Amino acid sequence: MMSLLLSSFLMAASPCGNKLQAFVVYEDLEKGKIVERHSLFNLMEWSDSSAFDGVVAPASSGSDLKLTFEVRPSLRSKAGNSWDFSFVPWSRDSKYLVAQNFSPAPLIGESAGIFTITLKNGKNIVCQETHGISSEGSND
Amino acid sequence: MTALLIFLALLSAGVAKAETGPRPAAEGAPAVTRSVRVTASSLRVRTAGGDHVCSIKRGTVVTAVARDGGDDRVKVKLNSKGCPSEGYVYANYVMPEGSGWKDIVTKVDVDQLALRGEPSPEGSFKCGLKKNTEVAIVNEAPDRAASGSWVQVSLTNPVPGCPTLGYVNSSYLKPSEVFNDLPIINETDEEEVAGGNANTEAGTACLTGDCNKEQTTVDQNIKDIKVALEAGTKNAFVEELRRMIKNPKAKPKGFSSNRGLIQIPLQGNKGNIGPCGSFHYNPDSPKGVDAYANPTTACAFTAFLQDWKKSECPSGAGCRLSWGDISHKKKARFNGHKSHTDGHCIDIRPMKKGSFSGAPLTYEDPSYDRATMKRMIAKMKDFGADTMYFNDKQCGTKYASGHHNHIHVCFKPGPKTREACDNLVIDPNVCPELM
Repeated sequence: MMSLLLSSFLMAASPCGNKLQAFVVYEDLEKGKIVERHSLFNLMEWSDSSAFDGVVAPASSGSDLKLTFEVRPSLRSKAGNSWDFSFVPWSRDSKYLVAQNFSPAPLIGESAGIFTITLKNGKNIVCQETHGISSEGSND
Repeated sequence: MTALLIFLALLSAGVAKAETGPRPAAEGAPAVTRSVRVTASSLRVRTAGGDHVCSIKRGTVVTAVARDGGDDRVKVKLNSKGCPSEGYVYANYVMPEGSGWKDIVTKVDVDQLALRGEPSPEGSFKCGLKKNTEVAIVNEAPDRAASGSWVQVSLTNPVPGCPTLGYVNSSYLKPSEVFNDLPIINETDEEEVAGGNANTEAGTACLTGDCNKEQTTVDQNIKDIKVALEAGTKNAFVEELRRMIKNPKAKPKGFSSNRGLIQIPLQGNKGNIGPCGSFHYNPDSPKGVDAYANPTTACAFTAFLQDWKKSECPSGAGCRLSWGDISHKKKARFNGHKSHTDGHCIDIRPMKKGSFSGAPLTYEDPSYDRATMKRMIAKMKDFGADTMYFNDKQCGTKYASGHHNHIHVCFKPGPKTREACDNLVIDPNVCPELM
């Protein structure tokens, strides 16, 4: 894990942008009926007001996509947890692949700190982002 | 002879025409009346002019003697302590004695009426019935009804997406069919009700004693609408809020509450659909557990939600109000909040340009709508909001770490929030789920 982080730092892995996006699934009313919808957005820090349900990559991204999700108390901290996920076609939108069984909420829990999300195609890092896990701030 | 035949033909035609019009009682025949029972928990009795004179409780039996041809009121004779012998009530809130409402076919009287799986505002939402949808009342007093207003209905014609059977609040069904046989009141013939003197100068009865006061058509329309809406605000949620505010130990009927807080009503399996067109983002599980508010806060916030939807964001686009955590049902601390403990404070997402999205947003995002955000902040202050943390300096709010993707705002009990609550009149066209 340390070598992965170091190598990522040295390689200056690029931000993900449209290569890997977060999504939320929600219900809404449409002509009096309850329907399920989803919204995609660029990765951002984790907080109650910016939580996400999973991540997707464009279906054309490649056949050997892997996601690594890592949670640590801080950037300098060595201790943390890391999980790996594969991608499968997304039933909600065939233009995307979804990280299978990836749900950040239980992995982050109530911890503060940072998370790092890395998208790889085979051994190549496609993109990587690190964001804070917010506990709503000291003045809240 | 021909002239006589023509005369007789004209005479019979005139009689036929008279018989198809409104039907005042024929001279010497007994007047048509109807014994009716109050279904609302407390129904206001008013003068012809709309002034509230007294209230009568659910189950009170009165006699409907006439209907107001201008709107859905009926004139009643009553024998209740503190009330005059006659007055006006809204027909939506009474049902005929004896035959009741069973098997009556009527229509939806509002733009959208919720059809629910159980006879309660918290009942599972099945679909929305549009105005004039025809329904037959199959059970006027279903078991476990939240109030006497809830009835079971059957749709007389299939409606896509709706089950055939369900429950609705009968207050929002057209009452006129039931009272069609009552004579129509002619305003110019009206005698005094609850005092006042007849004043034929303007062709209308002067009922309040102030016969110099002229009421314009516009003023009367506004008053009638307000009266109608006021009568309609015998809706469960606002009633229970006001009851809890009066008595902090009261348990609201039909709504979840705990530690003196009440849950804001939510729809959908997850609880994303908030009242008055609002959106509840990132709902916790079980549904509603993160949406508990102090009753005064809930009341002022509801008033703000309704006003925002009605006056600033009827389209429900990017300006749609998206709110997150309030307080937890059981825990004083949750989701990493240091506050959000006592039901006073609410997290709200920044305003967005363009269409609505369920996604988060920061004030640095290109689609952030600063102008609308400023308007929202100003409007929240009108409804008693204070203690605002949001990191866009141009909004004049306080800075706090982590507050770039939401505004933390509190509607604490005080003169302004109480005033907002006192003035709250639920518009069924804006917040039908609160009826």
